[in-house]
Amino acid sequence: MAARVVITGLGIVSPIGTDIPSFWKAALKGQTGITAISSFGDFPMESYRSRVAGQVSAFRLPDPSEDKFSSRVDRYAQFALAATREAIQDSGLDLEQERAERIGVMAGVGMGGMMMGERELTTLYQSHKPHRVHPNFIPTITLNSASGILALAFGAKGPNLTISTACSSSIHSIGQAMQAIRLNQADVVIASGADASITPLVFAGFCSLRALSTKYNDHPDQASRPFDRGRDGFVMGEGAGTLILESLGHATRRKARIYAELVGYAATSEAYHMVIPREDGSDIARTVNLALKDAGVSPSQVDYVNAHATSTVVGDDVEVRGLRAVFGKRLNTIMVNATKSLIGHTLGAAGAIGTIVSALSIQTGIIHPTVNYDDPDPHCALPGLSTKVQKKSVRVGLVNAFGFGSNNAVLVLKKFS
Amino acid sequence: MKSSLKKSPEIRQLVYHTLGKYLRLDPNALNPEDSLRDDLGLDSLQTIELVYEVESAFDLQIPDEDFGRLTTIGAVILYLDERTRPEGTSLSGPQATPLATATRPTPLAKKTKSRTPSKKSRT
Repeated sequence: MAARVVITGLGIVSPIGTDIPSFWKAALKGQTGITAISSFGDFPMESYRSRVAGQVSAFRLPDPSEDKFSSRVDRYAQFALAATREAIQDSGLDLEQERAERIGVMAGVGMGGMMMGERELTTLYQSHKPHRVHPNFIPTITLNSASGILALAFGAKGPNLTISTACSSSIHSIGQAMQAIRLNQADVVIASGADASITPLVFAGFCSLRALSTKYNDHPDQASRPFDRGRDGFVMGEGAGTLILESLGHATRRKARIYAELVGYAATSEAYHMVIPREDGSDIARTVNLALKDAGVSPSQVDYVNAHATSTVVGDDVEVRGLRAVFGKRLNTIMVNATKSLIGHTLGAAGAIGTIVSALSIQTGIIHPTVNYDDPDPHCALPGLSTKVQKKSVRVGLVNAFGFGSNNAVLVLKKFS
Repeated sequence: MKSSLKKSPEIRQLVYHTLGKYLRLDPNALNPEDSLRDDLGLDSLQTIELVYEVESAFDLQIPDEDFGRLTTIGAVILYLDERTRPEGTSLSGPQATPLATATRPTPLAKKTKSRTPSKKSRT
């Protein structure tokens, strides 16, 4: 029988807090981390259609005496290191006492080391001096630099993978981490998601894709508004989230505090379009149903959804369409929130942060508010979504994530008993 | 529309050239009445790419709010004709159709004719 998998540690770097207590406090207050982008060096921001983002301004590199790794990696991997350090500490794991071969790392990364990538590219094209490309360029931009540096920093010698499925990356990394424990490939897996690509080129790319909000440049705190009639695109964010997953046996033996049990996971492809979801939501519904089946719970048991909810007109519509296909009228009674309304879309980190939020809600019975839900869109009505904190026991929660490349992924969390 | 086309043959020619190059079609095979979505089969991403090519050819930026006007080849020509007039009047069209704000989906059962998945977005 496959091992049960539990969540025993959490860590975060986000636009509204660079540790779990400050993040959760801000989230419950409905504090938004969306601000104007001050500059991209020499680039005048006026030339960008969108000029707002969820930026992590409070992040400081740790002292080299405490962390010799952060200075060697790109910003996104620095975030992953910081979130993981907090998660391990939070879990109470004593890594010196653990078998390194039984600790895995699964990292979800959408864009990767774009900061150094853009910098070195610019330098090369301007200088025409190939020998001036930094020797650490390749190890930094290789997409598995985060999962690699996490293994080095924490001595994790078990399975080590990077999963890149755009905005669904870290739901997949958590799901695959769960599978590794179920298959007895590891006792503990560091499941992380990170991205920090609010860079001149990437931001310009999302602008050119016409995917970002442009109407609220003068009111950044109003730009991310999932399910609201006035939404006009997503807001880029940056950050990282890490969860420590363990087999129940391992967690019980060391008397670990358990936030929640991870009970279900499904990953599907719509095989439809690189950036457009199937319009009837049928593939989202199929993914949710597969995850529930994997969890061994019925739709009637679900009482909370952490929605993908990016604040695009069609994305939010299709998600609700898919949820309604699964839950029918009962969706009206399920509590839903949209974490991206607070911090924007952190891409590869989004699924991990959504799962952290869900674990905290299961543990505390508190659901953070969704902000800017001022004028509910009747096309994707969600009576269970509130602009206020909701207090109600959560027994079973879903976390959704959908990504470019026609990807869907859903996790199911359950109150541990 | 036709009077404005006659006034601006070079705009028309450049639009046909740009569209033909993007679509890999003989510009002579294109008609002003051709719908970008229903006749040429462009989905929302392809429409954005086409607008990108047009922006480059005409050295201007087309705001999200104006996407709703760009429904047919003739509409694109008219739009560019107005945008490039010296006294150019600023246009504001109906609901925009970039990825972020693409037209709301209709259930499959009610789906209208379309050769490719059109006007939907995922982020």
